[in-house]
Amino acid sequence: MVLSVHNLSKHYGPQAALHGVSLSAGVGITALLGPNGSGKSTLLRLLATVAPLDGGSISFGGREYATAMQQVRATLGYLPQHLELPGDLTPRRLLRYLASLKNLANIRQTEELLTALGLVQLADRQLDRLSGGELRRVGLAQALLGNPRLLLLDEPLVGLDVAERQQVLWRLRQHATGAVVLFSSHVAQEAEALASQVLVLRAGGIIASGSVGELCAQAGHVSEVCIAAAAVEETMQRCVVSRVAREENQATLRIVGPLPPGLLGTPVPPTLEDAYLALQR
Amino acid sequence: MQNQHLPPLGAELSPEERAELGSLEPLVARLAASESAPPSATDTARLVAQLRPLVAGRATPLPAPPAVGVGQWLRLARAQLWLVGHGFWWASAGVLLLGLAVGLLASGGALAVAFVLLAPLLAAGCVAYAFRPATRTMWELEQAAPVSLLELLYVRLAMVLLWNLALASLLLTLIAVQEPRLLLWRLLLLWLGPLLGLTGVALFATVRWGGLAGALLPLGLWALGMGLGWQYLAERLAVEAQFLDGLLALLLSSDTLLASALAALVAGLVLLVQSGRLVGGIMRDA
Repeated sequence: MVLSVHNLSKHYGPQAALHGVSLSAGVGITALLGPNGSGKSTLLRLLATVAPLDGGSISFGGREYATAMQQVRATLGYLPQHLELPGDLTPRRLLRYLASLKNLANIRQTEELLTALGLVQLADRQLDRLSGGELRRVGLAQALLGNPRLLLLDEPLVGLDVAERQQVLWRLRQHATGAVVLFSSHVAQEAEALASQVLVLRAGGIIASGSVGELCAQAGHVSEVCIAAAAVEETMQRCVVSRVAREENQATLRIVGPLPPGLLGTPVPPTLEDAYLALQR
Repeated sequence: MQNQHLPPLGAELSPEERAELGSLEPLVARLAASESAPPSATDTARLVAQLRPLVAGRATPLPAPPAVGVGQWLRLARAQLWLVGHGFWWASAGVLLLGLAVGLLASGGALAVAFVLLAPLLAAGCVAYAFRPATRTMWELEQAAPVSLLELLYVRLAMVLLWNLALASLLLTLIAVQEPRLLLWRLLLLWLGPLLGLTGVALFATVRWGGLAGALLPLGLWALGMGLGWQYLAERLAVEAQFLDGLLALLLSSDTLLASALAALVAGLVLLVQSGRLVGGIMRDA
């Protein structure tokens, strides 16, 4: 079961949101990593068939989107970035409604998802009375309806607290054993924690792809440097800094790339965040 | 590539098991010293070529899209109740029944007739409500579902029309029984024509120009029709002692009203079909 994208492009007016995007994702979790406006959400919307392509082609499981749209839709789950849902609906009614659109006659799965995502107590509460994290879990539950083989999640972890995050991560890992899962994020740690493959986007194009280890290797030289706290701002202007830890008059900086003259540091193994910053530079 | 970090073999074995196996040191030394070149691009390509047919053979085909049958349509229709909420249906029934009660208590059948004839507005309101752009997310989720938007559109439309038709038929039958001079088929046509006409306008305008146009256009047309009709009625009924009795007489005899209702019915049906084609076009573009 492979998702293949070839030379995809999308414009909003004269503005190119995506250009020349090609990728291949198999069973497991693939992260789309990039800053805001890099084209992650647009790519997911095209893959979810809710926006038309301007060019290129997409296939899933060997079937072209252009010729087997309904068949692809029968097997995909989608979580949009912004959840604007009718406030007078309840999670249970929303899930049952969307289950009927997916032709799921059995309502047992609806109840299972409410349980699995800790929504049983909230199942009959109006959506406009739920918190951001609770609403996000409702969104995830609807995306998982019907055990989709292609799961597309736009910023699934936004607004979740630590416990909710663990619950969602566990569920996604479980689902990804038999499905192609793509999720977007602009937080490298999320991608590192969850994904086996990472695609880095910038300005509507893919600038790097590979496993977490392969991308970390692209970070190059990474060092930790201990400097006076007063010199932090100046150093940050001269170098790519992925982390700052301040302690009274001193600060420890994690610097990606070669150290400028006069600075001495300890080499450390690069993380995906280091690689991401190096790639976005 | 050299194996430099092999763990001590047999470390986890019992002394008896180790004695049985004998010395493993020569094996460990041989494994540690073994070298293998990283695979070349040709090796990788050969391996991929060998694996491809095996992977293709094990690939699970995509499931067929859900078959659309009566059961699926009924499920979809029932699901609309979850989406719209029961209060909406009760409210629309309540408005009609209240009108009937007021009409029957206040002035016999005539006011009730007038009220039921205003019911097409209720149907137009129902359509505008049912097809309102609830939220962008909902629209996207419906679009990403295997059920086509066209099916969804017709299921909702059928529900609204059937609901209004059932209520109005019941009321019109009661009125026809109470007022034997009224012919039921004539009353039904006078009601059904404007109903389908306004519903068609509401639906077409909603699909073509959005929810606001879908709500305002039928209301505007109805207001225009009432304005023109009022002038016509005022001229025709100037000599009548009772306005509502005059209205009743007009409903019984006017062929112009009957022809207008028939024209509205045909126009409504055409607009409903055109709306379906429009949605079909939108789906193909998507």
